[in-house]
Amino acid sequence: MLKKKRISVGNIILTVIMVLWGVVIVYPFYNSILVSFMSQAEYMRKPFAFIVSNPTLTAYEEIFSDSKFLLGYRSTLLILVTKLPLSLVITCAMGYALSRKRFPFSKAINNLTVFTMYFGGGTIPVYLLIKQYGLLDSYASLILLGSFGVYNMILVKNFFYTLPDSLEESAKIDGANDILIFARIYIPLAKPIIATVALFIAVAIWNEWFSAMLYISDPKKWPLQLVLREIIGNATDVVKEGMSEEEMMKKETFALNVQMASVVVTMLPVMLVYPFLQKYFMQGLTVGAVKG
Amino acid sequence: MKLVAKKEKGNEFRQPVLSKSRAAHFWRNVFRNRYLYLLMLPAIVHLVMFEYSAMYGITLAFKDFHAKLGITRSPWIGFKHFEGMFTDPYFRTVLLNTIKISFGRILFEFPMGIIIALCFNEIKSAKLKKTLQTAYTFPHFLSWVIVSGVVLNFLNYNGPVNTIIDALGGERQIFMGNKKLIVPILYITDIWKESGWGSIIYIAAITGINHELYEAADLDGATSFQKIWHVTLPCIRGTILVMLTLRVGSVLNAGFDQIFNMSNSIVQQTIDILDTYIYRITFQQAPDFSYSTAVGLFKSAIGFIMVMIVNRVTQKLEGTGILD
Amino acid sequence: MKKTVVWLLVLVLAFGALLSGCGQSKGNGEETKDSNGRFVISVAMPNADNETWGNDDYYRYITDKIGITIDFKALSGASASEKARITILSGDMADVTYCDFIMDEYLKYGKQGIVKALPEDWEEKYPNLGFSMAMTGMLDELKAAGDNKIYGLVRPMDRYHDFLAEFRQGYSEGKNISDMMSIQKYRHIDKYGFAYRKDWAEQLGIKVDKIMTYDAFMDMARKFKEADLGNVGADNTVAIAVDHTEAPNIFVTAFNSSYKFFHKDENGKYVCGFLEDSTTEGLKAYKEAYTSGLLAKDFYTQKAQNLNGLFCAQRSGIIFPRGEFTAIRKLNTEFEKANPGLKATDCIDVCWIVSPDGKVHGREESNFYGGYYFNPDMSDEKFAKVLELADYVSSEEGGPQIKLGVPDKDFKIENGEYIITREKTEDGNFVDVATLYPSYGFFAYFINPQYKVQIESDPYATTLQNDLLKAKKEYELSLLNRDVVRDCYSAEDYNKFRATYDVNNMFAELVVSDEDIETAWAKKKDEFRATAESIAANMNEALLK
Repeated sequence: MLKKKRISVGNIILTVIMVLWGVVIVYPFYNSILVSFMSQAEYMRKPFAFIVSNPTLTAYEEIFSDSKFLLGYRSTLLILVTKLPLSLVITCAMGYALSRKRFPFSKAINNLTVFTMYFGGGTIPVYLLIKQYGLLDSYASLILLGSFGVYNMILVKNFFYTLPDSLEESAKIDGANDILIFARIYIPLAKPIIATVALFIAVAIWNEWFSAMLYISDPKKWPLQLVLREIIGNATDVVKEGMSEEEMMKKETFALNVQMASVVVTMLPVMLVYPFLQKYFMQGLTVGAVKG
Repeated sequence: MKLVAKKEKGNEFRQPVLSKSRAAHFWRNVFRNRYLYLLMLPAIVHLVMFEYSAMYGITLAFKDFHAKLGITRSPWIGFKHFEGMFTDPYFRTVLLNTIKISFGRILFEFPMGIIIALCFNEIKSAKLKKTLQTAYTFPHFLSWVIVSGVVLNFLNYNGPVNTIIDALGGERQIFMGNKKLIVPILYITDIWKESGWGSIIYIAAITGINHELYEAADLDGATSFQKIWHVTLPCIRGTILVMLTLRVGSVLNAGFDQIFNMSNSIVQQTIDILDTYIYRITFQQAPDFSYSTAVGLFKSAIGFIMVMIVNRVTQKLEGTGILD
Repeated sequence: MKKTVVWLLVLVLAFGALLSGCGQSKGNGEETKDSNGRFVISVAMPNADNETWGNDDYYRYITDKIGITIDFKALSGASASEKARITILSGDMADVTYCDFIMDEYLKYGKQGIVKALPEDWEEKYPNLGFSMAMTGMLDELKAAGDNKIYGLVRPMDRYHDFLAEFRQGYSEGKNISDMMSIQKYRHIDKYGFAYRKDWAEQLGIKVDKIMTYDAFMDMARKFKEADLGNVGADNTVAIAVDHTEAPNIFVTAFNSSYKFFHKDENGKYVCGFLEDSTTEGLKAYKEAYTSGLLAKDFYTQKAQNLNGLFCAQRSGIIFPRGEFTAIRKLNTEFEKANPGLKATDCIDVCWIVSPDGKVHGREESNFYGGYYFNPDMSDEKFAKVLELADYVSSEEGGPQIKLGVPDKDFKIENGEYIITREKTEDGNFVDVATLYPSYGFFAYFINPQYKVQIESDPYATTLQNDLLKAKKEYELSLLNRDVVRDCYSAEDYNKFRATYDVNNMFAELVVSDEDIETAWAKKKDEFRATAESIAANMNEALLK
């Protein structure tokens, strides 16, 4: 009896620590939201508070006063609705085919596919390629590039791998071809893994900024994250030596409350959707994943 | 994070009914699986168009690139760029930074996923567990662009952390401009963002442990800690090893997204890594496409060699490699 | 495994061959003409937007005048120069591409032939453009470096606007502009003006002229900090709102105005300003200002907007805004918005600092910013049109007009004077031309920024500027030797050096750290001494030639 009690004391301490760490994770987000509702003057006078005394929407008004963010949303959503289905089809089809290990070249194709995960041409060769295809400054570059993810494909492959062969064999006897078997029998069974992979892809699309920075020059076509990056602007020094006065004024810099409002606007969709999807990816990752 | 299929399948080529010539049999087998090839076609086209075609561009590393001539007709110059690279003292600094930061990450960040998984296992309330897990994994889904904004605000001179330090009688710190603090900050923010997500794989592994083992330990009167040490950890040893070797394999990836978004002019040299260096020499200072391709190739090649070594190691340890 | 390797090689080679087949890109240089038979010229500028830029009265007026059509192409925002480089280097550039100007890069592009050189007789054919280029003060260096060929246009700044007419006269008489710039009367000092709280200074009994010495300035800063007239609490006061790129210009410049340059010493030899002892003195003053709390603790992360925030929240009484006059007007608006009841004209004034000995030890900044490169595939006829435009915006007539808007609509000329007829905003200033016409973003910055004309359309800024100029006159006699070479010196290691040892960052680092500044700086100096000295030796060698 005594022992049981001691364990539970340790357990309580542990739980408290875990909850505290949870608070540490969540609090910075709360703080950002807080700052986004402050006015610049209020923040400068009293930068830290647990609640905002005079919440204002000025920061939000400022970021929506021009079309930058709306255009960003539009671009990101456009890419999302085209790239997500495309990417899912390519990835699942490849994953399924490679999980059937019996056909000629299967090993070579598998190796050549996985190889690209670890070795690539590098920024400039890919840039020159995109240029050659005439995809610069178009959404197509963002949609096509990375529409097949090797890592996601492996997840799908491993999942199909765990399904019994008898499913396929009985269908074969009925005269169905591989594509039919894949579409009619295996896809319905693969819902959890498809949901997981879809989530991964969607999140990757939502968070994409680097290729957009390289391939898209037109700020009107920028995805959301790049718009945000320009506003946070922490990586680039905005003012350069020798710049004329007029030009300095043209370079916009943004107050912290505006920066935080942009952060909130960008992460809000993920925040709202994520808790509902959580159970799917937990399930999807567990199936066909590592077992010790 | 890579997942590994453990289950081997005995699905060899089908035996021919009549013994014909091998070639005929081979092509018949190809024909029989034509629909599978069709399924693979989109992915293969993608790989060829965007991956393998780009690999040809690697020849740039051995050429002196002239835009007018294009990749193919630019003159070959052999290993000149590599010589330049290895004689540049700044390249050495960057390489060292990369390795230092990367090993620091393995040392401090890697165990956090396991620790969190173990802690989760001890929490009794399922509801609390789920809520906490939601909080822990959430930051993983945000980009470093967002997270850096949040972190910079949080560690601001007047931000919450400094206010607390001040209230406790300590001295306010300039977190983002302190060369000694910046690397720990990189680790901590990465732990903060990713360790919850990293723990999922171990949680899955722990769920798979046979309950009888714990019951037997209970009978022996083992404490929680002893159970972790003697039951849980040995049971998830395989997963840990696989994850660790994978992490070591990508040692030259020291976190471009994080550093690119969190760096500032004061700490830039301290946390300059290969990837940020490649970015700069490609686009910012005295850009030279050939040279930056050479540095990129160096990184890619070392990375690939590391992966091959790691693959061998896991094959030895676990009987199956990560590439299978 | 072996099989895989073979497959890999086959794949890569096959697609390499495929690539080389279409290896020669066409570029944008083909002869495109619009329905009226005009050349269509593509122009890549930061944040350009063809829909709005190519569609206003201002655009139509100028393009009709020259007889061209412009196709504007966006070139990102903050990363515009990165984008420009990659398009130039990959052979994909627009006909006219804007980019930062770096000598090293300019020569490389030129020698590789990936940008178009100006025609041989460009100076005779386009005398106004020739004048504009001469006004950068580096035309001779460009010619010398490129064997008399010019590979792009460099943009002069407005630093000599008071004497523009005289320079133009001199140029038409065949005088060397670089030599003219060395004449004392025409000299220009780099500005480190600031805005301060006039009302606070009065309350504290500090008398401020338009110019004050460094010591008086520091004294005022300390008093502001102590008095905390904004009532924000002693910990929150920041006497001087300034960022780490501008701070050295206050503290270090006071002791050594060449601290960040390779410059000629009294023997006419190049030395590295970093290594001089006076720099250490300045650095000590800088550190002192920081530790005594005159600067914000995290001043090195401050951006323009945050500086304004500090000032408007009454946490600081002195601000060094980037972009003096226009910035101060904006500051006034923000100040009044954040502090209802206070009037900016009663509270804010501007002032300049002179060195501790009462003299201005300013250096002249180089007179250029940014440049334009041209697509090598463009035909000579088309290129002639581009140069014609450049010549027009550089001319005596076109230069001012381009800053004022559309003739007869936005301004008229009476007795040789420009009368501005643009509409006014509520606060009595004229609406910016840039606001009225988006395409101003290209034309007004293409080669000749006659800033003064625009300033004159802004009564408030004009008053500020005239006051300052009047006060400045007395101090103009103690300038350092003019020398341009430091900025367009093309040694590769020089650029690398500048990139690795960014002086602003280095100083901020030292000032913020706990180490003793003298030892830390001595250590740092040892780190780059050898490189710096070899560069100086290099420059001296070039000088002998």
